[in-house]
Amino acid sequence: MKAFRVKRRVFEEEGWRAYALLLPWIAGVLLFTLWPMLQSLFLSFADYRIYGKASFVGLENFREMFFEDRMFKTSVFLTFKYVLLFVPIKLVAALLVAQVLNRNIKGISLYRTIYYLPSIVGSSVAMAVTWKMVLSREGFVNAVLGYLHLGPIDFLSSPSYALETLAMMGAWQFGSSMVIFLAGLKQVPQELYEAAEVDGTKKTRQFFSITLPMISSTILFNLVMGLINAFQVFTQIAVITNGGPADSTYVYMLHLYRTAFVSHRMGYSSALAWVLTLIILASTGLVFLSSKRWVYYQE
Amino acid sequence: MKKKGVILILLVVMLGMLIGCGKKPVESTSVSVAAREATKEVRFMWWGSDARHAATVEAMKLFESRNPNVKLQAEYSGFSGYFDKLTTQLSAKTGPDLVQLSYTNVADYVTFGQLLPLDPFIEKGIISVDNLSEATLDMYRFDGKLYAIPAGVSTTLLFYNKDMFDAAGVAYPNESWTWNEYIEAAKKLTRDTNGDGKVDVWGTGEMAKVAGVDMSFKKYLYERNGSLWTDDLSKVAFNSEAGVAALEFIRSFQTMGITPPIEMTAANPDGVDDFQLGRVAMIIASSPNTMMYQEAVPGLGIERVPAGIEKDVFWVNPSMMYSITKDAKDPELTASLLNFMVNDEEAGSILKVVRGTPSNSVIRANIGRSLSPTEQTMLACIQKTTSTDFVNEPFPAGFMEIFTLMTREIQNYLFGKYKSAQETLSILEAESNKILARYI
Repeated sequence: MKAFRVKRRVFEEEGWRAYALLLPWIAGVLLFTLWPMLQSLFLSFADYRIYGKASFVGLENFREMFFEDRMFKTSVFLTFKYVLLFVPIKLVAALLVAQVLNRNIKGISLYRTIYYLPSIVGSSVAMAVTWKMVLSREGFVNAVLGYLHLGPIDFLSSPSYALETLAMMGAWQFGSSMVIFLAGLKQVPQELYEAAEVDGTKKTRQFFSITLPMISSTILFNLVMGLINAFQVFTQIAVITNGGPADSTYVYMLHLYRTAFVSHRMGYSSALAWVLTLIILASTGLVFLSSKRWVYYQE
Repeated sequence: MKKKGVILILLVVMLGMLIGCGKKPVESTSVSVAAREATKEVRFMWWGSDARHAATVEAMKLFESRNPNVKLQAEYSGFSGYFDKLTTQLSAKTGPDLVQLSYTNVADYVTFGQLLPLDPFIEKGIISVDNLSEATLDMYRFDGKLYAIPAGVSTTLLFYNKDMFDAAGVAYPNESWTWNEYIEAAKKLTRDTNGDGKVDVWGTGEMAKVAGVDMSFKKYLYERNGSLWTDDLSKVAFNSEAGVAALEFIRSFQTMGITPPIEMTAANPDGVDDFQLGRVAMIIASSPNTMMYQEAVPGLGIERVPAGIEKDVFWVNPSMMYSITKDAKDPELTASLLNFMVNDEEAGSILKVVRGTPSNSVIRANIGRSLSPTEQTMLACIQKTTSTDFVNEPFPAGFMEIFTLMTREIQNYLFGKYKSAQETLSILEAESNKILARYI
């Protein structure tokens, strides 16, 4: 106790050291995160064509977005569709695998690593290109389907499957949520299961009545993180379908990107970015509000 | 514990690899041989394939050996992301000195004041335009000032697979073919070759990406006396009877079943079309594709594109353009490099056809001898394609954006998202006019 207090005082007296060490990080946040954010907030009320100066136009960008931009509506709709497909698939997959891996099997950490790998490599361009090849007409999946006298299915080039395929592909990177679920599962007191065993409760009942409520806060965390990521989906879709076929995968970030880098309308795309921020804020806000009803905190 | 350690090391290694993958390789190399005594530096930026990179770097070395106090900086990449990079550099005032532009987007950069007029260099005799087509140069004059010089010329050609024609017993295309003969041949060429009851070779291929504007749609439109823009380039003029007919003509290949289903074509990897995959017997594509096709298709034949339905429409486009940016540190030296790339005979023999058939007529005649027989056929077809009475429309500022839009919407039409060609064109007209208005 005493040693602790001494250390603390030294820290306070020499607080500048801490700040000096933190300086690169603080400077980074201020210069490369906060400043660009403020700039983009300003630009969202301006007409800025990347060359030359920005001119203030008030709410014009937002008016255009809601009343004139036909691709804005399409992209919002498709993004919500993607989110509603992607988040549940990802969470269920992560929880199931975590449940399976939450026991003492030989070489369990190897399996954990294997299942975690996709979330490290998953969002890279190389992986996206690989998926595109695997799912193409001449690709592996259609070759297997061919042996079974099924298909071929145009997973990515048919407007009816493309977004669904992309959502599944994204959900494949469930590794990080899985690890968090695993940590959550480990926290569940064994006594509860033992008591349930004694009462002769079935495994499925145990899962729904003990496991799920006990890890509900972990579910909330993964849900919120999943939502935030899903709304901002970009890399895979840009690389694999680039919005096609027939605009069936034209998600919000693609619209934002095209406005910025094809049309060079940085002001308008900043406005789009801030609207997306508000959408994400509102969605996660709703989840938090609803969480009072379904999240159980042990305390 | 040991196991965990191994896994940790593995993870770290993989992460390291990922970080390595994440960074795009810096595709910038110095080709200098005399870097130490270098006093002047010129940056040249272009996009292309390996063949173009290798030839261009070699030509730049030649320029350096002739000008020992000059150091050239080559900045090359693939096409995707090229214009994002260029725009970002230019807006930060760190653009390259000499830049390769598309023949469609010079006007965009002129509108934003990013390019230098080339006339002063022509007056001083640094750049020569003597052997270049005046009609083509005229497309790149804005307010009477010239802003870009074509690196090469290209046109659309009819490529065909001789083996498939032989197998189906169809006579090869000839230069007097009309669209009707083309369609008749395509019907005969559409066959089930392995006997499983499903068609596996189609007569002709639709170009998913280029179905857009300046190749197919534009030709079909001109054939029917239509035009893309109003005379002052301020609005579009393609929402007309001719436009509807042109779009329906593109679609008719699908309804007749002489082209693979659009879902199949859309699934092709980037830069690979149905013709290379051996799925179609014919394709109409841009002439620089010859280099690619002669490797992929052994029995490659080349012919002029069929004549028009109402009138013959053939024209030659510039392939790519060279411009000098406003950021050029030594504009005169940059201009002499531009002149070297376009007019120097030794450079021409190195560059050959990496930017399409050379725009300089003397060099074009010279390189003929060093080309492969297929490439010579291509050259002959380009000569045949030149129509004397045809004047190409210039490209308005904002065309790149319209091009992207049209490519997408015409694909949507082929996918059946819109009820009719008329509906598609009305949407395109409204959106394109919005884009054009933003550049005025």
